[in-house]
Amino acid sequence: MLPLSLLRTCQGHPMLVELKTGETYNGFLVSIDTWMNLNLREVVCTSKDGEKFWKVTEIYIRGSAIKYLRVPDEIIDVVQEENANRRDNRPNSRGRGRGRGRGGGRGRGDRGRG
Amino acid sequence: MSGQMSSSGGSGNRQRPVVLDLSKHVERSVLVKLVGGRQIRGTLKGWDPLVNLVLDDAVEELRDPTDPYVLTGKERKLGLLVARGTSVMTICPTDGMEETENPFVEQE
Amino acid sequence: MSRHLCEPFIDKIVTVVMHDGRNVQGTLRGVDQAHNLILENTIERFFSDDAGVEEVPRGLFVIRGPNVAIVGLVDQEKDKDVDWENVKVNGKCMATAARLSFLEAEAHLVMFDWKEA
Repeated sequence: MLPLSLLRTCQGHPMLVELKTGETYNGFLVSIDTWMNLNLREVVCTSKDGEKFWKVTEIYIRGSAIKYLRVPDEIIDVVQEENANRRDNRPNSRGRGRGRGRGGGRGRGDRGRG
Repeated sequence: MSGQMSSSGGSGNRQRPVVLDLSKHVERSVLVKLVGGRQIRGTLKGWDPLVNLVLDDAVEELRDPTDPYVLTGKERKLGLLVARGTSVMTICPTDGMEETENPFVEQE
Repeated sequence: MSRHLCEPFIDKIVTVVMHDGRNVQGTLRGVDQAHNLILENTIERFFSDDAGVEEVPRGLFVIRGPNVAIVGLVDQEKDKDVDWENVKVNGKCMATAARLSFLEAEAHLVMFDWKEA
C-alpha cells in the first residue's frame, strides 16, 4: 500500500498534520497531490507549545513542510477494499462482477503487493 | 512538471491539480507562513504553479526574538513583494481566522 | 521486484525514530520511493529521566520520508520483556537522541543496549 494512495483515500475525512515547525493542523482533507501538497478545510491550528489555537476556514500546506499525518484508523480498511476491488475488476472486468473482492475477506492477511 | 500539470488541466484524473488553486484567494487577504518561521499577511495579487506569490500591502507579523513561537503583535511594513515558492509553507485566507480556546479539551 | 529496502519489514512491527527525536512503534503497512511510511496501531514512546516510558496510542500514521531517521524491525519477544514502565533515560542520551541524522541511529542503539543490560 502506498502512503499517497492512503492519503488520497482520506479525502473528505478528518486528519491531523504536524509540520516540521511543530505546529499542528486538524481539519478535513479536501485534496492532495503527488508531492503531498494538500488543502484542508475547517481547520484548527495549534501552536508548537500547544497553548494557542486558531480557527482557519481553509489552508494550503506544502508537502515538504510536513513532518507526519495522523488519519482515522478505518481508512486502511477502505484502501484495502478498494485495492481488492481493483484487482478483481481489472483482469476481466465482466468476469466476477463487483463482489466485495475475494470472498468478502476483510482479512489483513491477503494484501497482495501492488 | 508542475507547470505541465496545471496547464494540461489534469489529463489523467489520478491526482487533481486542484490542490493548488489560489485563484479564489486572489485580491483577498492571506496569511503566508514561510520556512524559517516568518509569517506575512498581504493581499494576494498573483501566483504561479511553483507557488511563487505576489503580495501587496504586505506586513510581516513580528515574532519575539527570544522566542520565535511568540508573536509580539508588532508588524513591519513590507509593501509589494514576491514570496519565493520554495520557501512557502502554508497559505490561508485571513477571513474567518480567529484565535480560539482549546477546542480539544472534551475530546482528550 | 525488491523496490525498497523497507519492503521486508512490511506487515511487521517496526520502531521509527524521527528527525526530531520522537519515537513511534507500529505495524508497517506501506512505503514508497520517497520513504514515506504508513504505520498502523502506532504508539508513541516518550522517554524521560525521572519517570518510566510513557506510551501514547496514535492510531494510523503517515510519516514523511525526509523526517525518518531510522526504521528498525522490532524483536517482539525482546520488546515484550522490556519493563517499559521502569525504563529511564538520562538527559544526555535524550539530547543525543534528538540530534539529527545518523548520529541518532547510534543513540538509539545505545538506548537499547542499555535497557537490555
